[in-house]
Amino acid sequence: MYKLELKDVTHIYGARTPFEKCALRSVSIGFETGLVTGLIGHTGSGKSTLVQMLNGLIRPTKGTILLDGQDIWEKPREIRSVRFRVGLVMQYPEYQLFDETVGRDIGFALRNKGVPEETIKEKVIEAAEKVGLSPALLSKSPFDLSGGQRRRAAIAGVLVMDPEVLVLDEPAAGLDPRGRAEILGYLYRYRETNGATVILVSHSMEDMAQYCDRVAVMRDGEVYAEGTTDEIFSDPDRLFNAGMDVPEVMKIALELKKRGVSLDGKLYTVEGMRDAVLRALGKGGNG
Amino acid sequence: MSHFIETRNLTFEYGGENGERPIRALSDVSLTIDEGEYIAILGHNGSGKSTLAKLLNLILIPTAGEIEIDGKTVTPEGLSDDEVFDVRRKIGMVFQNPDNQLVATVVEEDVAFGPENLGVPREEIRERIDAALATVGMTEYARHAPHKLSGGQKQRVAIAGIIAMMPKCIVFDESTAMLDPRGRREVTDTMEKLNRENGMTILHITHYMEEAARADRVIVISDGRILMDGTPREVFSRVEPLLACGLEAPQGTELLYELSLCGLPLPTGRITVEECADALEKLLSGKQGKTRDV
Repeated sequence: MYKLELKDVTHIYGARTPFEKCALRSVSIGFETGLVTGLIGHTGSGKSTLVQMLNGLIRPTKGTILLDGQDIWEKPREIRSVRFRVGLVMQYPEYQLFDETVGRDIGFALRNKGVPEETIKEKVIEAAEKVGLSPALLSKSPFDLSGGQRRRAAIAGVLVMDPEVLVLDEPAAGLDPRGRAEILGYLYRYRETNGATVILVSHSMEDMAQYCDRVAVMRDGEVYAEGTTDEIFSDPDRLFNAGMDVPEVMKIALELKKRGVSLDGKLYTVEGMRDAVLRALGKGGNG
Repeated sequence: MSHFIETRNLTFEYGGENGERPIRALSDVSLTIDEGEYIAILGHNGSGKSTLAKLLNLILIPTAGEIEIDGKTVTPEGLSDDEVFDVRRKIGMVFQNPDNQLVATVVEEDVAFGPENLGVPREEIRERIDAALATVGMTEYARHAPHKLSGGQKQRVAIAGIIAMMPKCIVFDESTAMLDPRGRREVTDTMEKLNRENGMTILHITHYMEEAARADRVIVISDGRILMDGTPREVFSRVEPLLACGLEAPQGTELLYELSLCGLPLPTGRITVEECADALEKLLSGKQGKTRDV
């Protein structure tokens, strides 16, 4: 059974108006427990609509969304409980910080949930640690933090709920390479320690290749391709057709193949390529 | 011959009110930029690269040192409004978020916004709009609504709006950061075209190393100072200092670097897919030749 599953989901914005637009067409996709699934697709492919459905921010025009096999819209009045279980980190979440201190901001969801103040305090420190924020920053105003720290604080505000499913829309956008690797590394670790199901939306093919177990490619409101990261990157033409790209390092592998030099392995990451070259030279290499 | 842009010990500090210690965003930067250059600027978050961009467009005024733009010197005293206006029409800026830069409800009206404000005669505005939209490949969208375009298309409309003001230089401040792969390619292709065909000076601030590799010159800024300044080949052959300041090299360069750490004889400073493939082909075919001998 999938942790979270969309069954035949269609969504139409502005139905029965002149601006009617079909954002998702009969989408069926499942997210397995404990895996990181990457979601890619061009602007307007329906990614954001899909993501907002996962925690009940948008109710689909047609179709069902199952969390642990349970229809999340069965009792619409209780949809709020889904939002504590499925954490959604939106794009540029640092713009949503609003409370007086970083600590209060991170604890906002728990306070809403009615968790006792004592527990909130512990949980906030724990969540801050998960994203590498020093406890000293918790008493500061969010506006005194740097951009990267604000992004972390915003993510901590979702992690604090210990969500079973974590959905992130471009969590590393606009960060420099080191900041990117750090944030994605923290999320990866959250998956490891909590056994959470993670859904990562990104435009970066490099991040998809590096961090995802599975990848789903969206195109024009449909799931155009879905599979393990290996499967998805084994068919570059399919990616190009969806307006996507392959990681730069894989282009080198493709160029070599064109010239009659074939390599085997995970040719879509730098480490994978390195090991493939070493193996081809009879020097071992891992994996 | 004098340079198009020259900075002399350019420094910028912010904060410092209420007795707080000011924070230095840029210290003692001296560099020259000539007309027609295509430069990428790299740096970690908070390195000062956006501050530099804002100084070039007089959104910020230096707190020490000076900056000369096309013969006009800007000092901490600033300039008169007329002079600021004059500099801004020479240096256009395209920002990160495509949704924050479009003002009109029709693409061609958005492109007209700049020249209208400059007081360009009506007939000429029409010509400029058509030329600008053609340059960015958006002619067929002239009558469309901007909010219905893709991210890459919106950025190209923003670029057209700048081109219509006929600046000498365009600064792109992480203008590709929010785009999907196709959008990024559209925007970088447009930059390259403006530089190669129209001779426009391009400054491209980015976190994507592959994009920086397309420029003629790469400037690396770290902690408010210039750390490296050279051709992409020169800069990217120094993988270690790049990693040390939170950046990276293009993936191909990184692959060759990692393999050379494993003791393989590989050249440095290879950037493009073709160059990296060349180096690896040589290495691997040599090996395959040897196996055949055995």
